[in-house]
Amino acid sequence: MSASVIDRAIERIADGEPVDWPALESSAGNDDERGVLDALRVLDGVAVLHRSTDDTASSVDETMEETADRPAGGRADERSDLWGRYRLVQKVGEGSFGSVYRAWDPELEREIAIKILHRRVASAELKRRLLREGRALAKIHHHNVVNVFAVESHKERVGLCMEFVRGQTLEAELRARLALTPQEAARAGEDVCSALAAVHDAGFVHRDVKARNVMREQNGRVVLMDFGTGREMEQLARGNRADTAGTPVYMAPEVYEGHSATPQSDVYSVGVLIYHLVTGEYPVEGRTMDELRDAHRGGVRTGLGERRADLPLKFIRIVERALAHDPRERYASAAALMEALGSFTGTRKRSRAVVLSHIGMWLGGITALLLYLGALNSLVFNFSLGRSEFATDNVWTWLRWGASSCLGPAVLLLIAFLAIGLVVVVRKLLVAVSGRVRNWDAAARDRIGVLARRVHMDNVTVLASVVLLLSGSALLAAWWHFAPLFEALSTPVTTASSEALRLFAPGPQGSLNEYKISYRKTFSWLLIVMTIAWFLVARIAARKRESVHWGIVAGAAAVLLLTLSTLDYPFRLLNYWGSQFDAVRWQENDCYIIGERRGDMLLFCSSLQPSHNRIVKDTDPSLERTGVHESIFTRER
Amino acid sequence: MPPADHGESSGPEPLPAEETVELLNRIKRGDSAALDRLLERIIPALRRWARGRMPSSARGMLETADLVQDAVLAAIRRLDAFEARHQGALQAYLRKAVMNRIRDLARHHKRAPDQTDFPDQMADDQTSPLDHAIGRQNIERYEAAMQRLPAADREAIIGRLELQHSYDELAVVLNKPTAAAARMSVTRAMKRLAEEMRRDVR
Repeated sequence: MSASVIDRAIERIADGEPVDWPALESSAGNDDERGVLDALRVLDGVAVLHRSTDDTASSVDETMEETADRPAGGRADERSDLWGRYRLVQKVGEGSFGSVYRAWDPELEREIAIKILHRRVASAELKRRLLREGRALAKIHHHNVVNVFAVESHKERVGLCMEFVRGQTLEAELRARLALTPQEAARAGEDVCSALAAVHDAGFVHRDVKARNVMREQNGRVVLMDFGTGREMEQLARGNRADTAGTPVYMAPEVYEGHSATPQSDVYSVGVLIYHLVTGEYPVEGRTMDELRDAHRGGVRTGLGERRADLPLKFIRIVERALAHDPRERYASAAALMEALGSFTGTRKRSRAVVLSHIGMWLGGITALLLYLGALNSLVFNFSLGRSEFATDNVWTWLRWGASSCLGPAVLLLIAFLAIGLVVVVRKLLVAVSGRVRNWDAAARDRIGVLARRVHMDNVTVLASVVLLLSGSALLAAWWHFAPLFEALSTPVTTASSEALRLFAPGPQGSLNEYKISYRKTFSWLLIVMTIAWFLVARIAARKRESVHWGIVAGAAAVLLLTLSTLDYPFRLLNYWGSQFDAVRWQENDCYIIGERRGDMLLFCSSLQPSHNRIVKDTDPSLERTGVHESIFTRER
Repeated sequence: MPPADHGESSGPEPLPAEETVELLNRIKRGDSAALDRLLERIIPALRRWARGRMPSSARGMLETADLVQDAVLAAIRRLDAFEARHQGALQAYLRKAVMNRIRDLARHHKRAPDQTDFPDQMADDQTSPLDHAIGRQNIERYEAAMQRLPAADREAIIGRLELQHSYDELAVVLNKPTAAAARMSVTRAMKRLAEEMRRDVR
């Protein structure tokens, strides 16, 4: 027997390739060989038949699949069924509990898609699920979300009638093209995020975002489908830990740990989707749920940059952030991810809500900081002067004093960043025009790299820890250096001796003035250097696609806030304008009106003992206004 | 050389042995999510397989889906009597359940000639696409020879030719280390089957 003829036939049948039977049979050497070929022809018939039945329903998800744009008519052995008033034209998708059909609505004369649950398995739970999907979709009107028309029941089956989307799934597109470009993947991601933002706004989470559930119409419209596993957030918040759903490779790590799905877990799935579209692979892989769970727990994942180092860094960063293990480190919402993707594609679809929330966040943060600083230096000032009960400070006063205290350091910080920017620009310019500078620059960078590696500074955690240690130490050293000033400041002005008061007076050498200048300079520069250092650490971490441990971030925030508070708290007391009040003569004493309240006046008279403060009636005949407005410490020179 | 279908799949990938066993255990404990997952993975291939065997009279789009679903759910309810060592064993068990249901259906149609005014057409309607494709006699030869093969060979042939698994998927079902090893199993099994069928003709 000619083994090669038989083997060739077997291989072609097994591999699903057409077999030239007449040619093979003509080359058969004897009856045995013809007998085997005859048997193989039967096997080929079996294989061809099953391939043809396979072709009509290659989709297995409960979604419309890539076959959706096949011409009407379907297979010869599938009859055109009626379901209610609808004529089922062709099955376009199939799942375990139901199938999706392309159908014709004769009353409205339009083509629709119907997802029908199989008859006897349509349990109450499944019916509820389909109804839930219908209700979810009915609430959402969005260009990128499939439109639902009705939920109907006929022939013991429940079905969801919806818009027929003519196109192919992103999975089918990926299969045909192997990989999408980052621009295409990001644009598809933007549309999916836009749809998800509407879904989340309606109070739902999708829970099964994946390439098979996203269709692209022939006109380019991207449509998010299959809300069968979606849930109301409120319902999820009530917490059914066992109610996990989704496609394992797309599921967020926290969902594996039994936490409820959230908008952040949908954001993770969009990250997986985009990753899959540009690589054909998944960031975390495993053959079983347990393997995937273990991989998530052990942090075993392949970064996008590792698979596709050729992709733009910005794109990689966006996807990696969407895929962050900790949901708090991901984009806060689908709208935020959409905005980030938009900044990459250049189409930047900033939703109004996102813009407003960003502006609100910045304004709120800055206002809160200014209020805190203004309130701090005002409280210290009022306490030290013993005028707390007479103070008429309000939010605006605090804002004013907060802004005044920050103005100097903010200007210095801007100048410092301007200087750094200039240095960077000059360097880039020189590197671009001069080969020699380029060589020096490369050598310097190499040397810095080697040095950094030698002292382990190439590790972001080590670098951040060192910066935290140095900044904390610098703050402690500055506190130690200015201990005498802190002591002076901690003594209430109301009972301070003349000698102590002299320290606050503007003017002569040896006074606190000298201290004031060096104090402000020291803490201002400390703040600026620290800010720049942390800015650089953040840049390096972002470039290396590493995150800084939350403990270090908290430490850095604490050191920065303490430095700022130290700089700020005596601002109003030591500021010449801060301590300016109207001068008066009262009972032979030179005094200042440091507060007024319902006919009472609070006077500060440094010549009086033990307290320099006196409360007098504003009608007191011995009170004589001098018309001078100056610092209450002016006369202590 | 194996064809480049390693990445292709006509549906969700089959479950590896350990996960099949794990899911079955969870189903026995009443875990409906596990049942969903198992059905999602197993039913589409069975439905493809069943289509070739359904009598024409019962091949409406809705009926095929229902028959397979009913048969599988009924079989899974009897899972206590079944210990799956791997997904191949489970699929064979479920295929048998679906086939029994198809035979019941065919018998039911034969017993009910009054359902139609066209008895001749009724008789024709008992043929399946497989009958049309290779003829009743060849089906009997094929099935008889299959019964004489070792179970592993049967699974390889059914998995590749009837369920249309890719070689990657087949490697999971047959517990083979690689797609190439799965392909080798298929071609060897086909050779043995063809030999058996040739002997049957004699």
